[in-house]
Amino acid sequence: MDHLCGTCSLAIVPPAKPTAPCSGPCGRRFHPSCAGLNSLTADVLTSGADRGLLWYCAECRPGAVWPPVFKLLNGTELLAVRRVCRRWRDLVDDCAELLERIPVRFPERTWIDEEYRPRDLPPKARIVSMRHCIVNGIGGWWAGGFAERLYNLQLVGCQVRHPVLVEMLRHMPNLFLLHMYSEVDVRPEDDLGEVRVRLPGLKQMGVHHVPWEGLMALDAPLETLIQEGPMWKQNVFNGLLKAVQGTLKVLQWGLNAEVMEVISTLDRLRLKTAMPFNMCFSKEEESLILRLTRAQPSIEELKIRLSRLSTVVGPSSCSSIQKTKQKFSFQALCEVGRNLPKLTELSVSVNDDSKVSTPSFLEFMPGLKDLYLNYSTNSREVIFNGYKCTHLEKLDLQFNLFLSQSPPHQVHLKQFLNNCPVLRRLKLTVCALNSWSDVLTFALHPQSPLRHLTLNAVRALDRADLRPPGPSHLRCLRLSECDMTSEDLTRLFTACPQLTELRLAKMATVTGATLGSLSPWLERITLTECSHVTDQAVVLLATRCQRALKQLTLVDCELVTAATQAAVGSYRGLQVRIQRSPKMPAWVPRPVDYPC
Amino acid sequence: MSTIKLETSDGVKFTVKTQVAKCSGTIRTMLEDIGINPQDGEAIPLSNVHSTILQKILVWAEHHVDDPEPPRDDADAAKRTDDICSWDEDFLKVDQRTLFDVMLAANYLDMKQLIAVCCKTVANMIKGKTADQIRKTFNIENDFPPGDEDKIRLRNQFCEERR
Repeated sequence: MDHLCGTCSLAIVPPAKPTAPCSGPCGRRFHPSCAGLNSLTADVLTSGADRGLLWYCAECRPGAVWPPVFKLLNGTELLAVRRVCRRWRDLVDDCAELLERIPVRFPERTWIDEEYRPRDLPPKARIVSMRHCIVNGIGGWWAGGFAERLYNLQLVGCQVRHPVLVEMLRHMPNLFLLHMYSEVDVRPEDDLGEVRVRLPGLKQMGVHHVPWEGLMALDAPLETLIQEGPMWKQNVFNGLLKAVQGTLKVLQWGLNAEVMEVISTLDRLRLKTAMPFNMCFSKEEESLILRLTRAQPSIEELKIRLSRLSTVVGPSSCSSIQKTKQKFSFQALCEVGRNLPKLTELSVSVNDDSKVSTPSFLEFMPGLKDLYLNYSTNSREVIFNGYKCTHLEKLDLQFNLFLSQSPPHQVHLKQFLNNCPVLRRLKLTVCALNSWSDVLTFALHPQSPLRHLTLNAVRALDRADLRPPGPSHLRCLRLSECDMTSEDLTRLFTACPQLTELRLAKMATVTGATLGSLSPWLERITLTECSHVTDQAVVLLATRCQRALKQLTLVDCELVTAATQAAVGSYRGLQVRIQRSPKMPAWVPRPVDYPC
Repeated sequence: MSTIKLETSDGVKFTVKTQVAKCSGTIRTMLEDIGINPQDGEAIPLSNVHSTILQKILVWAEHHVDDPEPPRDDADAAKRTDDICSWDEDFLKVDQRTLFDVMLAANYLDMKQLIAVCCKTVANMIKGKTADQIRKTFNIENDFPPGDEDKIRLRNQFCEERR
C-alpha cells in the first residue's frame, strides 16, 4: 500500500520523486502534483523532516471534520450514522466516547444461560438493555470485563434467576442507573439471608410491580428511586427505603399508610423531591401528605400526582375520581407551606368548596418558583389578589373540564400577576377572565418578565377591545379554543414582535389577515384545526418568516392542501408537515435519561 | 486602532483590526508568544486558508469580537445543538463546500466558538434522518457491498435499532 501513490496508484520509487505523507488515518503517500499541493506545502511535506505541518488527503480530510460533529449526536442518531458508509462506521467504531452512547440491546426473548456466548458484543458498551429475556445463568463473558464498564442496565420484562442476578450485579462497580422492571425467580433453595448487593456507583433506580427481595440488602449511594405502577411486595419497597435512606434525595412512590409509617421512622432520610402518587383513591391522602411534610421538612419539590391507575383504566375512571373527590384543601396546603420552609415547587390537585376561593396558602410559601394547581372544585370564582410571589417563575392553572360546562370558573389574576416580578411562564386552562387585558396587560408589557404564554379554552367575559401595551418580549405563544376576535388576535400578534414559537389550535378567527401581523422571526409554527387558514395565507406567512422558520406543521386545516407543501417545501432548513387527521399519540415508554 | 496584515494561500492580503484578528487563537499566539511584530507591515501568512473563506471568517469575527468568553465546563451547553443564534444561522446558510471550508479554516485558526457553531449546524443536518437521507444530504456513496448490509446488521445485532 505505502509504495503506491494514493491518487494515481503509480509506484513511488524513492528518492526519484519526493512524496507527501498524509497525516490522517490512511497513512498513504502522494505525489504532490496528484494531491494538488502548492509548492511551498509540498516542499515542507516532502522534505521528510517533521516540521509539525499536518496535511490530510482528500479522503482523510473529512475525518477531521466529522468526529466533533458526531459528538453532538445521541445513540440513535449514531446508529444511523454508522449505516451511512464504511468510513463513517469506522469513525464511530474507533471512538470510545461515541461507542459508549450506543445502547446495546440483546435481541428480545434471548435465552441466556451459562452456555450462551454473545458474539461480537461491542467491547466499549456502557448501556445495556435486556427485554423479555430469560436469564438462567451467565457465562464468563459477563464478568470478564464486559460488566465492569456498564453504566446503565435495563432489565425489562425479563425473568431472572435470583442467584444469577446477584452474580451479575456483583461485577458492576460502575453501574449508575438500574431499571428493575423484571421478575426475579426466587426458589426455596435460594438463601436470601446471605444476599448482599453492593453497587458502589448506583445513583438512580426504577422499580416496577414486583421488586426483588435482594433489594432489601442493597448497599448503594442511591439518590433517585422511582416506583412505576403498583407495588406487589410492599415490604420489599419499605426495606429498600430503609437501606438507602442516607443518600436518597428524589422519591416517587405509591402513597399508603404502611409506607408513611416507615418513612416517619427513617431518621437519616432527607428528601428534596417527593412525588407521591395516590394508588387506590385513598381518602386519607391529605393526612398522609401532611404526615410526610412533618417528617421530611427538607422537601423542596412536592409533586402530588393523580393516581397512575386512572391513566391505565381509561376515561371511565374519571367518574370515579369525581366520586372519591381527592380533597386537598387550602387549609392543608397552608400547613404544607409551614412544614416545608424550603419549598420551591408545588404540583397538586386542590378542592376548595367555598364559592369564592382564595389560594391563601401562597402566603406560607414565599420561596415558590413553580406552581401547578389543578382545581377539582366547585368554586365559581378564584381570587388571587394581594399575594406576593417574588420568586414565582412558572404558573400553571388548570380547572376541571367536567365541572366547568357552565358557567366557567372566573379567575381574577390581574393584581396578582403584577406581584410576580420574575414570572416567565404562564399557562391557563379552562377558565374565564374578566377581560383579555386581565392577563395580556401583564403579558404584553414591555417590562414584563413573561416569555411563554399558553391559554387553553380561556374566555373573556367582557369583550372590550384589546389594547395591548406592547411591544412585548414574549417568545412563545400557544392559544387553543380561545374565542378572541380576529381584530384582537391581530393586535395581540402585532404586540409580540419577538415571537419564535406559535401554536394555534381550534381558533376559528385566525385568518390570513391576522397571520399577516405575526413576527417574521418565528422558528416553529403549528396550526391545528384552524378552518379559515388558506394555502395562500400559509405560503405568505412562511415566506415572510423564511429566514428563521425551521418547522411548519399544519394539522387538519381544511383549506390547506398539498399546494402549500409544493410552494414552501424547498425553503432551506424548513420542515413542513401537513397532516390530515390527528394521529393518536403512540404509547411511548418513559424515556431514559442518559447522562451522556 | 491598530491593524495587522494577513496573507491567504492565494496571496491576497487583508488589513484587519488587531482585536478582530485575535479571535483566532493561532494569530493570537503568533502575536503574543512568538512576538511577530505587526507594526513592521509584514503580513502574517495563513497558508491553509483561501481568501474567500478568510473574508467570510473575518465577517464572523467582526460580529463576535465583543462576545464574552464562554463558560469553560458547561458540558450541557456544549452538547446542545438548538442554541445557535439567528445571526450565526444566517451566516452559515451557505453551500456545504463553503461550510466545510469555514470549519476547516476555523480549526486551523483555532476559533473555538466558530468551530462549535459549525459543528452544531452540521449535526442539525444529520439529526432525525435515516442513513439513506443522510447519504442524500451529504452526497455520500453507500460503499457497503450489496448484501453486506444484511450481514453487518446480523453481526451488529447488539447495536442495531429495533424497528
